[in-house]
Amino acid sequence: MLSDIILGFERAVSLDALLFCFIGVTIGTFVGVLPGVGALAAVSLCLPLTYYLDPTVALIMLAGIFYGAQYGSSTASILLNVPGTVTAAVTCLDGYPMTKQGRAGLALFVTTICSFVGGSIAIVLMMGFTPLIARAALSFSSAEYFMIMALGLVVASTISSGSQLKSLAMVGFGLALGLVGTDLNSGVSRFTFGQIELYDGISLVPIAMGLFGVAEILNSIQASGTRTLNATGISFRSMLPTRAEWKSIVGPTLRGTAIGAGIGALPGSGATVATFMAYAAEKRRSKTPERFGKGAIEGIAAPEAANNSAVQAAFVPTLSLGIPGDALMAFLLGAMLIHGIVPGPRFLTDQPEMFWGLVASFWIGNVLLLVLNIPLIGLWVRMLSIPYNILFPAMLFFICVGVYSIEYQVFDIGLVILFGLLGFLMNRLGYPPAPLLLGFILGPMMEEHFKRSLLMSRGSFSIFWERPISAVLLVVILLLLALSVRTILKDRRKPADDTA
Amino acid sequence: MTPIRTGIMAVAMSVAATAGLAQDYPSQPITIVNPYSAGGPADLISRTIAEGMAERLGQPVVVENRPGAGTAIAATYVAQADPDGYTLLIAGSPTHVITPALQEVEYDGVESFTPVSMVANVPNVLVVASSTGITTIEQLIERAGEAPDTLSFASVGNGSLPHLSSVLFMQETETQMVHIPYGGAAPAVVDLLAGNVDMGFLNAPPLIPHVESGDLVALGVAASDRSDQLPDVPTMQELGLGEFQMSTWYGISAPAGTPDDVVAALDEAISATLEDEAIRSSLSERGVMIFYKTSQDFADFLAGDSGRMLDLLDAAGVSGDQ
Repeated sequence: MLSDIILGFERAVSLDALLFCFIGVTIGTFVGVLPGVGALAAVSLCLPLTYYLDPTVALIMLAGIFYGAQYGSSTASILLNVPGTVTAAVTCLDGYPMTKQGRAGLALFVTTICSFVGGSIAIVLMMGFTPLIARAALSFSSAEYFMIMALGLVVASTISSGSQLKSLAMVGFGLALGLVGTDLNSGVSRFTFGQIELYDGISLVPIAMGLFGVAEILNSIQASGTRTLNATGISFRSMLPTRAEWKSIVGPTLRGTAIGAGIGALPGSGATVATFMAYAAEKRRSKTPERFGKGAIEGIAAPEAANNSAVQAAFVPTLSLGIPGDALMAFLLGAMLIHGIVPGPRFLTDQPEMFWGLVASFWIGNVLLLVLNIPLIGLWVRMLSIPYNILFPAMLFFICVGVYSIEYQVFDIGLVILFGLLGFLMNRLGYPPAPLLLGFILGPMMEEHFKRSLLMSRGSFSIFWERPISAVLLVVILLLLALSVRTILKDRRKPADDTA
Repeated sequence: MTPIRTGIMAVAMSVAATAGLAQDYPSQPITIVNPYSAGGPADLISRTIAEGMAERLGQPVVVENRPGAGTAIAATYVAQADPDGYTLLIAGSPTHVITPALQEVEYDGVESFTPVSMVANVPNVLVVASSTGITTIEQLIERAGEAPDTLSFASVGNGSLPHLSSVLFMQETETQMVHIPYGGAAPAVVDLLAGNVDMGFLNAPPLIPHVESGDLVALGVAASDRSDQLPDVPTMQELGLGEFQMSTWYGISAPAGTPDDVVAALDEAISATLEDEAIRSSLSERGVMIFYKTSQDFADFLAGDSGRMLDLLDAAGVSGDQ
């Protein structure tokens, strides 16, 4: 195997591979920074260009766009509270408060480092255990997926600071929005009102961009004049974490990486779920959960590490089983098929040069991203000094173009504006957007897996506790629920001496 | 208006006028609208033939992906486009028959289109999970016949070709199995590999590595001919299961009312493209079989296919919103 790895690195450091890896991650960084313009749109645009390239080089470039976008996606989250991609929505929660405190440079530095660590560890895991992970992923079926999603929902009910009740209401609202669209099992369309754009459900990107991006722009317009963002102090020194800060991000980064790698390797859950779970887990573990949502450095370290490690781990089922976990992986798989490569159980042994070349390029790409992104931090922070009357229309423009670029539907632009207004109202009334997004993402998946589990068991609920992994997850969920109930009861008994 | 402007206007107007005249066809780029995401078989087929068509027609042919609503978004877009031969659809059973039968759409699957040429098909293969221990079609029929709902079959959605193929299989063998729909082929394959679902008729290309590794057992090909990729697997007809023409076919359709000579020019370019050895082999290497039919034959095929699919939808009890 060592010789295969060396072979892979030899391929990855050849001049053409290096050049296209660099082009890929650079395009990725920029589409990541631009809100709404996601990796999928960029990869689809670049696919036809790759027809004329060597297949390995083509894939190195396309994959580079994909993971490169994850580096850039947190930039706008932190600086403007506008997530570059859906996976960076969680980074808004603590990243933007850090910017308000004048610590934008530090936040960007930390996310870059955490992205690098998360991505790199996941690549090492991939190198060592791809066949093993792929086999393990097969023991996850609908019952297990349902339990993981349920666990995600329970853990993440604590995701926002502020009223528990409001945040639960938003989870419920998100679940309800997730009902829109054609039901997989019966083929009946629910709440589509005859709009064919709604047959596949409301698209995720307009919701995320509306609730976070457009809503924030509206907020800022309303609050203009009271601008507190601090664009000064972007010396390299000010970006560096202090010794205490270094210490406090080690744990979250490693735990985030582990959660990301675990969730990412399962085809069918995705990086967004991983970021939410990593954030919620850190908040739950923390002795001072009240700092979260107010600029806690752990709150950006964990989800960023999880995001990048999930994205790298997602290549495992795609390459070794030929099974893509999400739309983007399906696209990369399609690109491989077009180049005449069929990923699957024998891909590793049949085409070691391509497999290891690709994996080695991931690592080189991550190093390139690190080198590319640190000097860019100063430039991004300076973006804050652009006057609002120029910055906001530009952001709004990019959001609309980005949302339109996904499926070329004007309808989606309408949606993003609608959800922007909704997000603005929610913000005024103190309803948090993150739980809504989570409910919206998890709801349809949970429904699908729940129904499918019952079809497999011919209607018997015992499938949820007869399968060992599902049973363990069920016990964890019950324990967490019991703990929450105890906390609530304890708080009740305590005299109401404070309003928290 | 300045003379220069008038000149520009005149040129622009004459260009616009000639664009409608068929004898100059094509005088501008042609778009093939793909109702699926990039990277799938429809994308591969349309991009491959687009290159050959462009060469023969002397105008660029571009592929535009407009996925969504079970192909209805792309089909509606093309049905409502000008019938001038510049907006085409890469069509199939879903666009012409299944989606209009199940959903409320603003076009008629047959009346709103002019068939141009049938292009290719991708065979569906009956596979069983190796964990079932089943290795022959007789064993499968026997197990399925033991009791209703003993076995389950995977599909890629209600009314999808994999669903209807299994419905046909149950009709032919007088058996009853549980239908487990998936959002796409990928998650269905995962559950087949893990043995959580027992069998399924699915598009051949992504299954090949799993059949080769022995994790899935291919029992029969649901097409009139054997698949190039699985030459040892008999067709369903060879296995004695009647005519089992359930390939996923792809053709090129234009909006209804497209002038005959434009259709003829397109058909000629497509048929010539499909004669090209390089294009044939590049498609067949990826599991796509050439299945050319002229406009008229395509129209006849569509009429027959539409009747069969509607009967199967009825038998499946899928009604969707209708």
